[in-house]
Amino acid sequence: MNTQGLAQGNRERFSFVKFYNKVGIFFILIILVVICSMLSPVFLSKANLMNLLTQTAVVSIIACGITLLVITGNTDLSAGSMVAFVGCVVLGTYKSLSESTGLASLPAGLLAVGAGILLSIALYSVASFIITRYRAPAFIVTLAISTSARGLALMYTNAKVIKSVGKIVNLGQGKLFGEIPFPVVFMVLIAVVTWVLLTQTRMGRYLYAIGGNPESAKAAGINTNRTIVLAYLFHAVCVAIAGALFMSRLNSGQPAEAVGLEFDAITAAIIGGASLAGGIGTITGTIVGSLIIGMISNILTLTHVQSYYQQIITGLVIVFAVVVDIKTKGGSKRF
Amino acid sequence: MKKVLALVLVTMLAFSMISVSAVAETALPRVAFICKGYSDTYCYLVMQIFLDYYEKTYKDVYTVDTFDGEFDSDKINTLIETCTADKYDAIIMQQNDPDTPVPYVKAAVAAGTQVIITVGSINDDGESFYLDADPVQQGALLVEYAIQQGLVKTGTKCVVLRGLDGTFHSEGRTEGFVTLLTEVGADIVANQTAEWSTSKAMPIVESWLISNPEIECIFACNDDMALGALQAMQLAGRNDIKVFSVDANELGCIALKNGQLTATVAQDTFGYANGAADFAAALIKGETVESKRLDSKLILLDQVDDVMRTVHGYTDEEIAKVVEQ
Repeated sequence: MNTQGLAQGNRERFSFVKFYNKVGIFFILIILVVICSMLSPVFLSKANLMNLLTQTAVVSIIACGITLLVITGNTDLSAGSMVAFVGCVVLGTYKSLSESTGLASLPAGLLAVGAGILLSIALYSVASFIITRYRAPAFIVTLAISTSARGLALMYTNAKVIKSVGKIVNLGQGKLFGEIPFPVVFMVLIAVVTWVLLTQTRMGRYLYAIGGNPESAKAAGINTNRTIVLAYLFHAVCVAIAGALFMSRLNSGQPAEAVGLEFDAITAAIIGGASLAGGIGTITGTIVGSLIIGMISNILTLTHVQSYYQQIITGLVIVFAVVVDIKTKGGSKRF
Repeated sequence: MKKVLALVLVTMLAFSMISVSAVAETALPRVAFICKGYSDTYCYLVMQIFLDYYEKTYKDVYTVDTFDGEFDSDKINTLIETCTADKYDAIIMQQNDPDTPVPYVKAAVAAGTQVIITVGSINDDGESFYLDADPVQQGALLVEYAIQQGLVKTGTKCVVLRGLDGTFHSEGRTEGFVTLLTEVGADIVANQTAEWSTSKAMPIVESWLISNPEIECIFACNDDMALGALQAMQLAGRNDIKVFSVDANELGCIALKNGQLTATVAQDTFGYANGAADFAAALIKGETVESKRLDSKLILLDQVDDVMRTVHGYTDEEIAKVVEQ
């Protein structure tokens, strides 16, 4: 027996592709944390870390829903406009309920958020029906929803800011046990629920199957249309909660805000390893991707770098992430 | 059958052309109002006041169609082109910057469409008429007040929140802030664009409060960004920083009334709005008008009630409730 050959066989050569596919994104996060802590002495302060988590919470919540869509090979370009519309409806509904009916804060808040979720589900139901029934490109359908939602937001508010909204602002500004901001709590909860959905349920397996090969999934007996619709409805709930948090943090309902949030969310998913071709993506990757984008913006602001450089750097990060993604998901080639 | 169908279609076409021209002869002159962006609270407010005044005063003189420029110079130019081709008698517009609309405005004027610029002016050698204020003066008013009150002096740590870079009002107001702050020897520790947006200003100021907790004054190019700054300050428990901004919009006035905002600047909103309506009526009748520069005013706690009444339509009861909330 050739013991030398055996020893060599037992000692696998290091493969960057396998390493990156397993832990690459966390590795990048750690490197970024180290770099940021060297660039700013306050980066790792409790206050800044809490700010960072709070500031990324809304995008992360939207990204959880978008990850499901991206895994199935679909997308959503309306999340920003929907956040604005639904967020305004939540605040407007709360204000009406608490002022005109005198309903207490908690039930009024629950009803208002419930109304926002139902509205979001209704609009995304229409979008997903058109996408699945007529095989319309998700890109176009959700772009149409985006334009309509922005118009609806302006119409609902009469293009004015909803002010003096009352105690619902605690949703975006309050803290659990006086320490953990509620947006962060919601982010963690939704991330956990999404992780369970993707990894522990049949629906999660169906989503990956559809994204990997829709025809095979159908041939295997999966109701692809129904699964895609359910993914959009889950995303609708994420968007509604994100809208309520976004506007309550702003202390007012602003119909013109939340522009471009969908691109931040899609970027987070892509950086986190999801593939626009479908079939690939994880929630942990998405959350880490969202944190990476948030960290870049945070450190550049802490170090007083102008926002246009931030945009250039974010663009370069996206290109880097996509290139690495293509290289590492192209099989077992050494990189 | 095909011949019958063709005949019917031709008849319909001829009939519609005749009826359109007949309507055109008896219809009122048409005016297009191109708002810089519906999402800009101040520009939208000017448009609303214009429409109210138009309804009371010029409803029988001309008709109005409104358009959203979406803060996009290219979109605004497209709208000017479209309105010119559609033979509007006059265009009232709010500009994003003083240079990009110039060729389109000149083409409109050459085609017989009068152009009135409100809340700004453009560099078109007098082809259009304007109702303008000086954004540098608006920024300077705030810093002058701060210096007079001893809030800004040599070494005072200040930050500036700019509007959308490259736009007339953002560049002017920022120049107003920075020139005087530099002259007095204040220390501008950060200067960043938040693109006129409350939600963009908030995380920027949150980060600044951590990287530079010694900040004493915040100068914002508009009330919306100042509100984002105030939100960030509130969440960080910082009530010591003085915040100054421009617009005196509704939420800005409320923040001033509540002692959160130190001072704001009111532009002559009625001058912009009503003046534009008056200009349009005069030009349509063939009369001459003269462009105007309208002064802006510093608004402090003493003056804010008046602004809330006259510009934002608040009653005394509503003003009293603002303080109670």
